[in-house]
Amino acid sequence: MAAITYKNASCIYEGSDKLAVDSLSLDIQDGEFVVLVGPSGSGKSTALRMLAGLEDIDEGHIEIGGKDMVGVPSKDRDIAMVFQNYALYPNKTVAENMGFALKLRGVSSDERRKKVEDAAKILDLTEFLDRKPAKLSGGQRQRVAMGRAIVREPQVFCMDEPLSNLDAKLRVQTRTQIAALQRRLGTTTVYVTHDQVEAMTMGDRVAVLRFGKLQQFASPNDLYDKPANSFVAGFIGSPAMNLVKLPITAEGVKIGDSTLELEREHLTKLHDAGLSEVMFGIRPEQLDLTDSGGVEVVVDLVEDLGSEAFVYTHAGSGVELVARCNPRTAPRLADTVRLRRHPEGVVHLFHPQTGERLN
Amino acid sequence: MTVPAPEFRLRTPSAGLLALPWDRPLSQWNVPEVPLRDIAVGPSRHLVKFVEADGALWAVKDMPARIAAKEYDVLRRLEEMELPAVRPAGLVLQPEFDTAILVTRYLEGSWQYRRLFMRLPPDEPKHRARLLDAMAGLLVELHRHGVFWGDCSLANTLFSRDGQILQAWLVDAETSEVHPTLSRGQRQHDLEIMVENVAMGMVDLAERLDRSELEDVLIEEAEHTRDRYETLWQALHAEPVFEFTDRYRVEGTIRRLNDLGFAVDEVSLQPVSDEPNQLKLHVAVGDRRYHAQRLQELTGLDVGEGQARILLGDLRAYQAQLCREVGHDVDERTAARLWVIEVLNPYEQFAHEAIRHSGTAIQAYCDLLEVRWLLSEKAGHDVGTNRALAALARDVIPTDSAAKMAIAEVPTAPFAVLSIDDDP
Repeated sequence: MAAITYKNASCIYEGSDKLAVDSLSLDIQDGEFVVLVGPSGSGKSTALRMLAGLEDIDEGHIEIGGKDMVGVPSKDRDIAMVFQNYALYPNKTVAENMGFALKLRGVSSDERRKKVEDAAKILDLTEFLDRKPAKLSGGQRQRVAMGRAIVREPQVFCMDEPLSNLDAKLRVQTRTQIAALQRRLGTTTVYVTHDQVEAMTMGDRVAVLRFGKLQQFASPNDLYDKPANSFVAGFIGSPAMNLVKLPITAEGVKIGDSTLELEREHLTKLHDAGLSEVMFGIRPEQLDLTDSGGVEVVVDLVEDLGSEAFVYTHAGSGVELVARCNPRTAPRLADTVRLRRHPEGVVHLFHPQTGERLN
Repeated sequence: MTVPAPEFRLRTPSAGLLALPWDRPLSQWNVPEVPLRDIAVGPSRHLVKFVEADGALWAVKDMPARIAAKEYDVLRRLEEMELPAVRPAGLVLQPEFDTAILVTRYLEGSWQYRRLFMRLPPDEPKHRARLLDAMAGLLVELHRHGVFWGDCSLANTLFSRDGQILQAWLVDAETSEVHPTLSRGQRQHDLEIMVENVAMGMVDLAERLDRSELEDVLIEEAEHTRDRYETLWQALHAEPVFEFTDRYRVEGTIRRLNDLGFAVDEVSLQPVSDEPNQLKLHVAVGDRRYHAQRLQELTGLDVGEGQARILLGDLRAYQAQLCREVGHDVDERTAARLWVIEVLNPYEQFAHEAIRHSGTAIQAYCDLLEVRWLLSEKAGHDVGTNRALAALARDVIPTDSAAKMAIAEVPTAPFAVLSIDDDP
């Protein structure tokens, strides 16, 4: 186990004039589960591969356990890429499948057996150790693949979109297992995904990347409650945060003919920044349906999820807003309703040009 | 609520393929409604079935749409680069089931390593060496084109015969990526995966054959795949530095590459910046079809590189004999025309008949030449073609000869029609 530090680490692909990863700095604690998330082209996989030794660190440094990894071959970094290598061998038992990499490394049979048994215990595979892979379910086979990495007892697990190959049911099941397993093993883990739900449910902390640059590195709650910029605000959360550029008035922000009031301190900040408009953000659960006041909107779609419903609307000015409501009292398509900010609702204000958080 | 229809991308939109039940999950494709064929594959992440349609055999694999689309695109790229890989035939999205089906064309004349080694004598290092050379060669070909495999294993590869060597074909690109170039770290990582998987694949097979005492030997051989890869990679990427007056060394380098089967696209000699008299040689290497192209120029025959190497050798021997007989030089093109008519055409048919028409006639002739050479070497004189033909027909040939691998071409039975759906 080891802490990991990215120090202004950059990677540039041959023939490209842009940095795939641009001066990335992260301090990952020993035993932490960190998720790198971002859209396609954000540099998340490249950042992981720099750690694993599969991409060069062109500038800056990456340290594992305080040791600089620049120039250190992948096989000497004591990391395990989980799941990439799935091959299971039909004539060998589960135990032999799990322990084979150790045999190649010259580990004695007694030690191999012990490590395999320990890993099997953690993975709930003990009773299957003497079976052949054909007798296992899909989920059990996934766990054997995990076991092959675990028996090596690496300092770091690297997982690059490990669930993307699985069907939806197995994906949710394996997601839970990986998170629980990592907590039991306490091995520092860096996990890459494009799926923000995976990121939010699995990571101790999440690093959001875009165009090779770190946008924010924080706990899932902090990312959700206090996004550092409008990109993170829009990327984290499902449905996404309502983000609209609105004119600033003396009391708040203007949507069509109505005004959504803002706190005095927010208005002061906007005024001090010399802004006439702002990128205004509010999460769907912070908007309530109301009989009077608020903003008049027309319902475009109602998404009833059973326990909650999301109402997709547009205001007269063309501004689109999504609100969460009780599915039993949800309006119907084409209804005209009113939306207001929840009495304790949090709003997020971002600079209209830079996207940086203002409040 | 309207059920979304499957979305098709078929590159061979033949009637038989279109008629398959794409509106049903692959797990529900059963005989007799679907013409499934029984081909053994190892444990796989995803459900794979084989279907016969319009006289061809197709592999159909059920997988999440995003991954299926990615693999389809990677396989298209490999095809564009003419790399030895299975060819993508289609992608069918099934939004109703939140899944997709990737369609690839089954490679005719190819087989899994298990099929070959289950039929050969169990401890024959030369056959294993051919297999390991093929694996190392495939990985080098992929890497020099910027392809990271990610899950290189014997189970994810098919093999076909090519003269005295084996040609390996990538059949699973689920974890593959195409980059402009690969870093050393990516190549090394892929190589480590290959060594572990090849070792495990061979050991697994030994277990199946009740020969687990071979385990240590097999592991050691698999570890040497790394050396096979590095040797070939170095030959292709070495940039030797020498004096201007030693530039004859360029020819030696080109000859070595040609011997390995690589054509040379361009040679560049650049002065080394701090040593003005020193030149650094860089050779841009083309396809691994040097001998195949030469044979095609001379005869019009389109064969594998391994076959062409043997056939060119035979052609040159014939040309030398012809020159002796007529008492003057005979140019290569004339000799080639005569060789095809007088030697190749009749004897490839004899050879093919001798092995009961399994495999291709041209491969049968390559086998005949190898057997003749091996028997002649043992006898200390040329035993002649007819004796070699007789040996080939009676299968009394050296157990380590490449010709022995013809056993893989002989089907125990045509691909059986799947009678019960026994997928796990």
